[in-house]
Amino acid sequence: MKRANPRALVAAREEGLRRIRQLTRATLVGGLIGVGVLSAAVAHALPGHTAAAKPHTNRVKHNNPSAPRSAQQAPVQTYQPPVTTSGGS
Amino acid sequence: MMRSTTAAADRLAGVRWPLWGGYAHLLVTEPEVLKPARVIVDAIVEDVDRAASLFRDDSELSRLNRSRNGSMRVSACLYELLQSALRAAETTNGAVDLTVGVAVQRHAARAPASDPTASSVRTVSTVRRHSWRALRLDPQQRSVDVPDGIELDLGASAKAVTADLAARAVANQTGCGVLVNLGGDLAIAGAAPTGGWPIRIADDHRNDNGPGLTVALSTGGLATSSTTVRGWWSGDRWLHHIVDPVTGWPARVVWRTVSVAAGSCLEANAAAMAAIVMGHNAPVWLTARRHPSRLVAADGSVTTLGAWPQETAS
Repeated sequence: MKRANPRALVAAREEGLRRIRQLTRATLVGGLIGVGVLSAAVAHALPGHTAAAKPHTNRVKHNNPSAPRSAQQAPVQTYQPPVTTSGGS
Repeated sequence: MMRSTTAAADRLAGVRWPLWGGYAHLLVTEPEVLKPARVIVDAIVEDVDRAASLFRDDSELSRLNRSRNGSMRVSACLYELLQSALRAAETTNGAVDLTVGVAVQRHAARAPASDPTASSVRTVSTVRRHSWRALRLDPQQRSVDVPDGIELDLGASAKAVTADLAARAVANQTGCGVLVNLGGDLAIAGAAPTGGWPIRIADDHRNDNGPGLTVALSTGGLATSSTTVRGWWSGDRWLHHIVDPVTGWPARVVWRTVSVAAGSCLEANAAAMAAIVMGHNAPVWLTARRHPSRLVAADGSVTTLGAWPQETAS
């Protein structure tokens, strides 16, 4: 029985590893392209909107000046002479 | 952008004139802007009057009340007033209801024309209650759909909204501090005088010299509702102008006068009127909403709630 040439075996192994690397690379590239294409398709099909990031505060924005506001200043008793009167009408 | 600084109290300037059965009072922290400020306020008052006055046959609201054509497109001014009135109804669980117009008109028609506070034997019929929930506003068409049989009265909230709009407009356009007082309901904007605006609290906004607590306020709104100002006797019953939407009758007088401070005049006005209508339930409701409030009972005893200052002798 003829024994296999060790060099041939090494060469065959190297060739196999090279093919596996190529396949892995092709799979990764293909996957990335697929994800990109899919993302573009979804973004096109379901458009959203852009909002600028704003620092968070506790203040509430009111378009209507008469809209209820969360913060309200309490009156304080004073001994200054009044400048106007709040009462029934 | 409004400043948050304060202005010297000795530079205050003001003007007062009759308006809507009471008086209007405009105060500014810069005397030189008083005239342009008055022009700004007059323009807003005229817009609101043309849109919502029930004393004008040609107002939009009068035409809307006469209309039986379902949906009606309205001006931006009236639309905003309707939105505000509905917001007031919602926040007060309907205690302040713009659909009691019919009741107000019927009661007012039975009041003595010459002297509404004089004693007289009058009868007032109970009217059917209508709900503010039946109104439909369409923001796209800027239209309102009023079901048949409902008439609207924006008197309570329109005055407060006008004060808010006017104060904000004067502050924005002149850059000075301003207080707009319309019939005792007032709005503040811009930089307040040092220590805040000193405001007398009384049963009647026309009472500048009588007894009353004085408080200082720097922002937001303050409103007082009272059963003592506009009313008349019907037999042995005192009828006033604040109608309970549940009964269609003037609210039972548990509190004769209620003052409320809030973030806006509209909010304060709605809360003060609601408190009169709610009677014994008012303190719990006002406390839950954290409104600084002062309630004067029918016997004159005073209850203060929230951050309203305790009254001490001067």
